[in-house]
Amino acid sequence: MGRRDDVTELGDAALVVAIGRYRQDALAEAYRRHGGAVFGLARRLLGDPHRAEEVTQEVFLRLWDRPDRYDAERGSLRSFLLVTCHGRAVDLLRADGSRREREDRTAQQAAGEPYDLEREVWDMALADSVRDALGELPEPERRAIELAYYGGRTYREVAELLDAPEGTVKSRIRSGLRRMRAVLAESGIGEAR
Amino acid sequence: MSAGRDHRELSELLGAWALDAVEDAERAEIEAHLATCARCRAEAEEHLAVAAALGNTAAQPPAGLWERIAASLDDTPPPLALEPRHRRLPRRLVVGLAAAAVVLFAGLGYLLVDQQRQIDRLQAALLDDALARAASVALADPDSRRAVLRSEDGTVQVPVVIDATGTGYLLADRLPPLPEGRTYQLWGVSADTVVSLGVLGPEPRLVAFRATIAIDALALTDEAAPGVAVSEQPPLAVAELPV
Repeated sequence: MGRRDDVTELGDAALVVAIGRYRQDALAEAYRRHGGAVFGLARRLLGDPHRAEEVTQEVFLRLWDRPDRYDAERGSLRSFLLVTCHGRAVDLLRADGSRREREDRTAQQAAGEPYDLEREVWDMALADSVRDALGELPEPERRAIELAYYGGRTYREVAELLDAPEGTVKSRIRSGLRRMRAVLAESGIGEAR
Repeated sequence: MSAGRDHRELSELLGAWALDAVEDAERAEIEAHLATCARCRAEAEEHLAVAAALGNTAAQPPAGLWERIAASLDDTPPPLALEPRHRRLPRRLVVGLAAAAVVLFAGLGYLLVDQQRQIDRLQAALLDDALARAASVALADPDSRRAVLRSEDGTVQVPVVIDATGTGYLLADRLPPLPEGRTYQLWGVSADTVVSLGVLGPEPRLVAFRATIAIDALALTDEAAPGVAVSEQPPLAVAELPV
């Protein structure tokens, strides 16, 4: 049996290749590495752990069905799965009514207690460096990014919420992401390459 | 609403796009623009990397979730339980086996359909980077089989490695390019069959292939594009594989 077949030793790119060969153990390993992060993000966005489970399941089934969608040139497997997860969770939020209540609730918090949202973000136990990078942003940029990304809102909704012009919100998000990238790169976070 | 936004307007939306914070119509417009604008594409990739970093949490998945995922694998028809969000950036695919014909030597008359399917999946999953990494994993694996395809006169030397699972990598980047209308083709030779392992194109570089049957030797031929079912050419280079 001199066959070394240990998926736990494969890098993510090789792991995806193994998934392309219908190796369930490879998918299991991808889940072991990234399942928690995917679930955590889905739960952060959706609130409901059951729906977060469904999204997590979809994300991994999708990797199983279409491993070719992962482009190693564009970043880590973790990034790819989180981007997929975020998109899917946002779709769900926008598709149903639960979004409205949640939005109203958060909107009030955001308007009345500017630090609540921040604490909520801390509660998610983000990777320290990501949290630090967010923390280094000027407040208006940070608020815009948090409301959009963690709240699943469009920039228009964010503009309304903050009572700021749409153009301002767009450019706050854009410049905030640029600034974060620089900070993350400094702290050596692979995601920011 | 405003249809036909220009480069400047679209580039202003790239940050919001990366956060899934644009409306569907805007997303479609942005992604169409990304297909043609390298500068925006580069910026979009950077934003997307940061967005993914924002998504990192330290959560534990609930108990039993993996078991539910695993249970649904077998009866999941391929595409697609999930409505796809088409937000992938355009990307290069590795040329190589995408059009590979997997056929058997005439007279044996069975087709390795499953092998073909696996090659398609495999090749699709492999991009330059991933391919290089996968090949280096195979090269580093003591259980891999290594050989060099050599021409009789020694001018052509193509290293090849086949890992323990039967995935092979041909380091073909030093092959001389073929004229238009010709293609390299790789063959697997066993005791009683010759199997096409892939049509490699006129200028292959690093190529992956599947060797699902027991192969004793490899051969490389120069064929008329798009490749042939049965080669009548003398091989350009051959390699015997270690057992």
